[in-house]
Amino acid sequence: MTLSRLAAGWLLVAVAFAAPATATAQDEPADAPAVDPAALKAASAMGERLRALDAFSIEATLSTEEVLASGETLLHLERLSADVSPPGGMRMELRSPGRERVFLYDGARAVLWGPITRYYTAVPFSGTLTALVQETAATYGYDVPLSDLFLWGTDAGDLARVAQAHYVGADYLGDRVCDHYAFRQEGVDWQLWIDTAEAGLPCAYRITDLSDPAQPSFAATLTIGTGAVFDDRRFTFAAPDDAVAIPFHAEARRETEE
Amino acid sequence: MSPIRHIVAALTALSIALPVAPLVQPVVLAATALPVAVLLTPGMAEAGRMDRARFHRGGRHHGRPRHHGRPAIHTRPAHRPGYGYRPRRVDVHHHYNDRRRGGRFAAGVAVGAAATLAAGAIVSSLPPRCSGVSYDGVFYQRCGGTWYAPRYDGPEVVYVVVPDPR
Repeated sequence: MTLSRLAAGWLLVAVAFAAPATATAQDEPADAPAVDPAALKAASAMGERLRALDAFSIEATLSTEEVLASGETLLHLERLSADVSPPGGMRMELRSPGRERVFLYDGARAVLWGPITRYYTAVPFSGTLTALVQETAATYGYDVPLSDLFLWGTDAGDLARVAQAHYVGADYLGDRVCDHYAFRQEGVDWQLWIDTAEAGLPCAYRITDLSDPAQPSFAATLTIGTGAVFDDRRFTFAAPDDAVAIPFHAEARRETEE
Repeated sequence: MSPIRHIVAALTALSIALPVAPLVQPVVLAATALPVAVLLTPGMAEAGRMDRARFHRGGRHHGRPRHHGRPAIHTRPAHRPGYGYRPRRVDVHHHYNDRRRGGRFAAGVAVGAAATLAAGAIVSSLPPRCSGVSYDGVFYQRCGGTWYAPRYDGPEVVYVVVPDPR
């Protein structure tokens, strides 16, 4: 009696587990598209909204994982304040107690300045902010912080390489309700949280490098303020007397080779 | 010794030395010929490959992950899967502090290497007691008998060993 009840119980359990599994298999055939077009659309539309802003400020917390040769992974936390005035104004201040970098672009010149080290480098450039972040990375080996924001939904940041994309759900970030999307492409996973408020701007994003066994990631949580008005001087670097000009290594090396 | 044999010898030395004593890397680098030192120095060679890859892709940042078979010194990934600010892998941790001149990882490296560093070698921090000097409009850090040219490698300041500019 007891045994047969037990057997019946196990049978029920087995059915209970088997049934959903079967249903799942039927609901999601193997050839189901891995890319949800709505998720891709959400990412590119967010990028377009961001680039359509006249001027905006960003307050962000950045966390960057650094993998040492030993395999140990460190997480660095930094604060970023950015003022952006398209098409030719950008100022980004990246700060931690021991390290500071200021990146400025005034439409004619891009400058990287270290207020603590007193080293700066200046390169001529004129173009859009999207072109700027591409140029500094490709030519000078410098990744402008949060440059992703200027690439999403553009040709440069094309989403065609995304192999998987889906909507995860809604999360709280502080008081904001943000839609969470997940994307996967070769070598990288990235996640994006988009504010459900009307402006639809990014709340946060995270990038995970799958090509490294330690899978280090970078994450940023953002607060974007719109309607700002900036003085043009905000974006122009006036070198202090004790500032020392040094080159980008990528540039100096090219000149040596030529 | 021919340049190629020199490189092979240097790489062999690296493959033996690196797993045992990661902190001696720059010392080993110092003993290698200049091209080898540059090739194996954190970030630099990777940056060069990155540049070319981007140009070949018409400026796009998307790229297939690439591995260069250099497990001993693994620096920032050479590829950029598509997005601007990426997680990183470095040889020694000291980049994140402008004030620390030779942290607990870097100090031994820089001091140990100072006597033998070849021109073209790159370090991420200076040994103690350096002085800044300008010649022909170029700024150098002179540390004992070794001259370094500071440069921005991305957001990080690195120091390239150069011949005496005087």
